[in-house]
Amino acid sequence: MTRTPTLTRRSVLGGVSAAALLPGWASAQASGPSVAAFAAKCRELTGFDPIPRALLMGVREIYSATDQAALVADQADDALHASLLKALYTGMHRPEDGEPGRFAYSSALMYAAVEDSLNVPSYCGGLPGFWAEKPADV
Amino acid sequence: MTTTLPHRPQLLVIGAGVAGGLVAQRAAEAGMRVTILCDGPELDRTQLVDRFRQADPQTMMSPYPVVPHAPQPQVARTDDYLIQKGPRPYNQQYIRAVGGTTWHWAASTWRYLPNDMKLRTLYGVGRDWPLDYWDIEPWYAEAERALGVAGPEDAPFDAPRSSPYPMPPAPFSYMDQIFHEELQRLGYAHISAPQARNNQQVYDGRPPCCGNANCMPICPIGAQYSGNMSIEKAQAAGAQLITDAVVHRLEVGEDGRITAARYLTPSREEFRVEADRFVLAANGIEGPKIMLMSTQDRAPQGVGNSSDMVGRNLMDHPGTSSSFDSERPLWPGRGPNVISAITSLRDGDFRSEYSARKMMILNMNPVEGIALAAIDEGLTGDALRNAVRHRTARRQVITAFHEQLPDPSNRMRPSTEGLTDALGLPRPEIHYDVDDYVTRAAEDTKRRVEEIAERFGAAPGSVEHNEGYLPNNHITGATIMGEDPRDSVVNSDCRTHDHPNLWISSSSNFPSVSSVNVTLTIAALALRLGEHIATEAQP
Repeated sequence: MTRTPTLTRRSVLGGVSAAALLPGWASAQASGPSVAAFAAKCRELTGFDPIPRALLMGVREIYSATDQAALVADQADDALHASLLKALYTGMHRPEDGEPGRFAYSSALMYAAVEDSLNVPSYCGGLPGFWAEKPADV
Repeated sequence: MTTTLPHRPQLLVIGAGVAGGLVAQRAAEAGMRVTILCDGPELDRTQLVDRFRQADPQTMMSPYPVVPHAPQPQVARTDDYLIQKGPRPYNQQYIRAVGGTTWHWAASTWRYLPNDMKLRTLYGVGRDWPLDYWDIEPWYAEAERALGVAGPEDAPFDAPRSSPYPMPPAPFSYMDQIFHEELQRLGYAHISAPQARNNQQVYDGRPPCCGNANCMPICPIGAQYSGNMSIEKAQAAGAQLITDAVVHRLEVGEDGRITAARYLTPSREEFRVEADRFVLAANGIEGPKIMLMSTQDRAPQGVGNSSDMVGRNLMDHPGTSSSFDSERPLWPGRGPNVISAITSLRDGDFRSEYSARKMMILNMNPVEGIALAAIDEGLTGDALRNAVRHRTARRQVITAFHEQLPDPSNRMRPSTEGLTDALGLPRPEIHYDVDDYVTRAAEDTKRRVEEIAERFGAAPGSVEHNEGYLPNNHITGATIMGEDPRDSVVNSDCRTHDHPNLWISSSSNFPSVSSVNVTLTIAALALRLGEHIATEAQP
């Protein structure tokens, strides 16, 4: 079974000591990184540019300022990276010690990854019978 | 205090899904005074779609509201209502609301084959139906018109028919087309699945499917049939619908006739409805549970249960699901969730040794599981995005329904340990197993899928099979039909042997589960039953 990370301060403790030496780390911890800096890191991690703003702001609300700072400073551990990616790709937040929560659906990046061939389930895919045609990249 | 309702319908239908809806519609249109009781609420399609989109996670049950007075098994926790006594779980899901479980289905509407109803005679296993296929063939045709079925003419291992399908078959997706070519080369019959869904036309006021790819758990536009549509037609013909009425007891009169049904409201008020005739159409678990809860001096083992067969012979289609990655991109997930099926294993002499099967090429968008797995592998950036795309285009899933034989030791009964729901009613307790008749077939199914996967370029040894058996919500057997009152509950008219004015409309009547989805047979028998009752009620 896949381990789902806890999104707590504990998840980045391993990186804090080194990170504390970085310029701006203290203030970033308190307020979190700028939207621009956080967005850039999300773009790098996901392979998507741009990332829908609603999706981005959704994960900004989920992750603590400390976690965001660690991500931007390349001080986050693998579990935090994976957690953020799963949230951005699926639109769901899956804390290890809490209930999952959905903050986005149709804008989740997994659907964007296949959007030229597959519609988001529950949304109309096209004219009746369109599915008999070859998908776009075949 | 119990209040007896002032009106007395000629027919009381308990249950508001396809099985109750079609009986009620038929009887109401014939002029009968009909009342329908439903244990759950009415549902609104728009709200269901919104609930699905907001759900975390999205499951077969996530669109459907949980109401305390009509609990329904959930996907994640199937033991929070059904009590699983093993050795295997009977993990069925069903919806307790107006429309019933056809709110979430693939709309697959198969007829039984004639041989599906003669297992004992032809293969020496299971039971025969006390009906011949041709006895109900006209009702299959009627059911196909009522539900609006699209299907292929003269397809191999599809049942013989006296009239054409109401609509032409659903177009194959690109994926189905490629599978069709390859499967035929391997010697399989692979056909367009009959389905109660509009393709490129309007039927019965329903719009054509526009490929929302969400038949399960909710069709957002109502292109496919759901049981609430029959309830609405019954109401239009004059039937009265009472919702949130949880029937928990049937009363037996001096002459053995049912005199009244008692129900509880969410606030535990109790009402009685007296009626001339009763049809129990309350699901394959809830219906038998009502019968078994109704113990009384005139029915010491419960209503309809002089044979001790109520609740026994539980069957399903124990399912397998196997996945592999094809060499070519085929893009599953375009169009309806299930469009085609392999039918050549539906019948044959092998049925004396192991199960008949229907195998299906699943057409559901697999991207979420693929994305999560790729992230767990540590992929990021373009490598992640490209892997998600590449794998989603190639992830193929083949599922199979295996025929299970009736076994009286597979049974449901009201909790023997006093475990109750919010209304204080006993929860269903289930003892269930799957025997070697199925196991032998499932092993053969897996071997066949591996051969098919190899044909599609899957790496040797890469096919992943599910563990155990997957449930398919085809709840059958617990009020089994037969000619002998000593070992069956209803006769060929679906009338209980014990009570002349109590009929059952449900897949629980089926003496065999076959290898195909059960809804069209439920519908055919329901229409036949509605006609039978209306004819009998004529002065």
